[in-house]
Amino acid sequence: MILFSLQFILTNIIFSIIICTVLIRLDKEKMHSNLELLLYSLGLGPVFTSLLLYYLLLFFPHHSNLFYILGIFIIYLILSFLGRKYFSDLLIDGNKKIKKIKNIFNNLSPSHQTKSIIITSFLILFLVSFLFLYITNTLQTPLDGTDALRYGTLGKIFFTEKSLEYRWIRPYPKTCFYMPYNHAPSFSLLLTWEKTMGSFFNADKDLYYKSLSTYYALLILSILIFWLSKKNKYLALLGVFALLSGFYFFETLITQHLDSYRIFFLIISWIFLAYSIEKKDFLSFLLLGIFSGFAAFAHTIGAVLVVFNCLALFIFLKGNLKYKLKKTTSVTLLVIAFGWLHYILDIFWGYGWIIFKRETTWWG
Amino acid sequence: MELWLENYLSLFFDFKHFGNLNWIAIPLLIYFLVSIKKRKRWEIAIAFVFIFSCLFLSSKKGQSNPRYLLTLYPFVLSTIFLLGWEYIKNRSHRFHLGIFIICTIAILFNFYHFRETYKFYWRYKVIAVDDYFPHDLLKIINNIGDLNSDSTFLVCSQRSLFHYYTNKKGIDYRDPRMRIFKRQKNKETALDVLKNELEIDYIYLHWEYKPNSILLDIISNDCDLVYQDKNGFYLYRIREKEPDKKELERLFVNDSLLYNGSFENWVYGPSKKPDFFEGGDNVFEGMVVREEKEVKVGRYSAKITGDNFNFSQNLSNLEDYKGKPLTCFVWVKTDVADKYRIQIYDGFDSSFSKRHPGEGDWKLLQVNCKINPLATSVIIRVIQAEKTGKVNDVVYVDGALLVEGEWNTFYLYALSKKKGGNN
Repeated sequence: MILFSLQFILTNIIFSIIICTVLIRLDKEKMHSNLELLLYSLGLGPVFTSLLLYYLLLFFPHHSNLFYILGIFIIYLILSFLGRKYFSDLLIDGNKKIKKIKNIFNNLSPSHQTKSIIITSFLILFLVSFLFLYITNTLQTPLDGTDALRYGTLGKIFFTEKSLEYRWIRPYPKTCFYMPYNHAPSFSLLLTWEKTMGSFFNADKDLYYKSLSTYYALLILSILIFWLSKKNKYLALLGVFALLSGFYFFETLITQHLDSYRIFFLIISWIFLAYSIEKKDFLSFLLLGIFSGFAAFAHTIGAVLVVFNCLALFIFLKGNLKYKLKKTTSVTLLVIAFGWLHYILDIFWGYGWIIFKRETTWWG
Repeated sequence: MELWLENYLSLFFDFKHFGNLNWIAIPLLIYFLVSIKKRKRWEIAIAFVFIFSCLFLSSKKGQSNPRYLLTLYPFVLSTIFLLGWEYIKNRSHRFHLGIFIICTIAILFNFYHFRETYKFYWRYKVIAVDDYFPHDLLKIINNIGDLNSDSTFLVCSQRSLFHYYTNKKGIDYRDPRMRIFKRQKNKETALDVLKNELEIDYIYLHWEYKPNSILLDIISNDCDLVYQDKNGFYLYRIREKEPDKKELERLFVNDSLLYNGSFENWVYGPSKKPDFFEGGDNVFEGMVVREEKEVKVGRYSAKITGDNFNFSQNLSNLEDYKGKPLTCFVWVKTDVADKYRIQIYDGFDSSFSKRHPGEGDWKLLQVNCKINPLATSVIIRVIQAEKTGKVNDVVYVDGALLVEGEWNTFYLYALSKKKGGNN
């Protein structure tokens, strides 16, 4: 449990905050609130770590665990150096937000204050009870479910082989494991990351991998609250219960799957598609490319749907053809770098993805 | 209409999985398209992406895999609330309250209506009151002594537990390499492919999985059950080789440890006990007679009428069997349910077969035992009749065999086949 907490805090919180500070630095025009960037960044730590591991295993296979951990840590160190001045901005913003809430609360009439306390307490109690049950029970049950187990097995293979080679060779000769999907392996690589970190503590756990579905489902809920509470706080509350009243979403909170993980990136990519067309600032274009890339890196559905993002950007962006082409090309290149590359490799040297559908691969 | 609601539009009308507010997206989308000229570019861009996403997911049979449709669910719901708010925000406070109450009722109704599904998952995952996980089976696969690292499993289960939790080789039933097996038209060639080409030794099966009839036939007739999990997982071992029928014949017919097991010899006459067999105190003269019509093996069988008796043979060379496993088979026919069975008694312990179900057919009963090293006698009670008070109950007995070692009925049936199904 201590190792899980360590991995969770490091990957999901610290790495995400580091990325957030870099994004704040890049938001020179101050078009986005720091809180909003932080909310979206909380999903970036795990997937960016997975992407780094992907490139390391692709270009530098068969090295020791230490090599990959150091490689990732060095990149985060560089990023934290780049964003070093903005950690304080984030803290100041957080303090300001707390003070603002305090002021709003103090200005409320006593009856409204009581009502706010009751609603907040109810929500906190609800969340704390769920998290308590989740950590003590749900997280302790063995990993189950077809897809999560298949991605997990692939993650174990990457960890054993220290190479992505077996993403393109099936079945895996040592166990005859046959992975029928052609999705990019970002979700699997998070188990590889957990095992790589765990190897230093002689631990062979999958708690972190199992927690991802819930983590991203909670992030999706937070995004819904963030946007709806801008309109009305009761609307946000209603939205949360409405989302949970769809059983499939409720399920993502308590089972282990990659659905919430892949949906998160797609939703944020659409938010930044809207921002890019409306605000046309550098960070919006950058994050449109990054989140679209990660949506592709998470799942084949994302890989197809982000093509529509690029098309929509080209069609609906205001400006002359040269400007539109320049921006769309930049975003497309970002999409490729942040995940779509896998499918290009797969089309030409792998299974052919959804285009050729080869049984055997050139890699194998 | 049903096809549209349950398939193409299931994202909006599958209330169980996507709530009962999603359908509002359809009138909102129509309203959006009607008022498109007033819309901002980013709004149109998002609508463009959304419509194409819906079309793509439908083309990829998203409706038959609702997890694909889940992709759009949080977005659709958020949009409904955001656009809905834009529509009602300038209305009166009462109007807001009315809409909120209607939405709350709709949401609560959904939770209530599908409460069993929520309850099941809550118990299954959050409270974790029941253990649905086959811990023991996976442990057995990983650790059992005779499963060496070269053993290959045929994996027939939707839950992909095998590769994640075990260190064994396993070919999934849906693996393209299984095509060669699925192409086979009869069981013999399919079994040959399974054993020799795919080199499969074990079959790991969950009851929900539906393999083809040939595989089921193989499981029924050519496999031994190694372990059965309480949640419906089965582990079978494919028999290494078909038993050599000559060897079986030698073992079961020539080397049977019982004398006159097929009841062919009646030197004292057809109404006296057959040679080498005796009854206890309750087997009186005339109770055991030679039977010529109801016969399973050879020309005669033994017909016994009575209640509360043992019909047995005492093995003479006791020292040869001490500490050894023995198997006894007897063909038994009766209409009386749960009265007759086989017993082996060694002076210390008794071992019993199942009881005859009394369906009026010949049934092959079997008992396995290990003789106590301190045994004082070995008595094979080829028929033991329980006391029921009905002295006119009839049982026919034939083909009694006693062999050394642990065997099961499969081998005897294999021998029967060779002999034209008569034995």
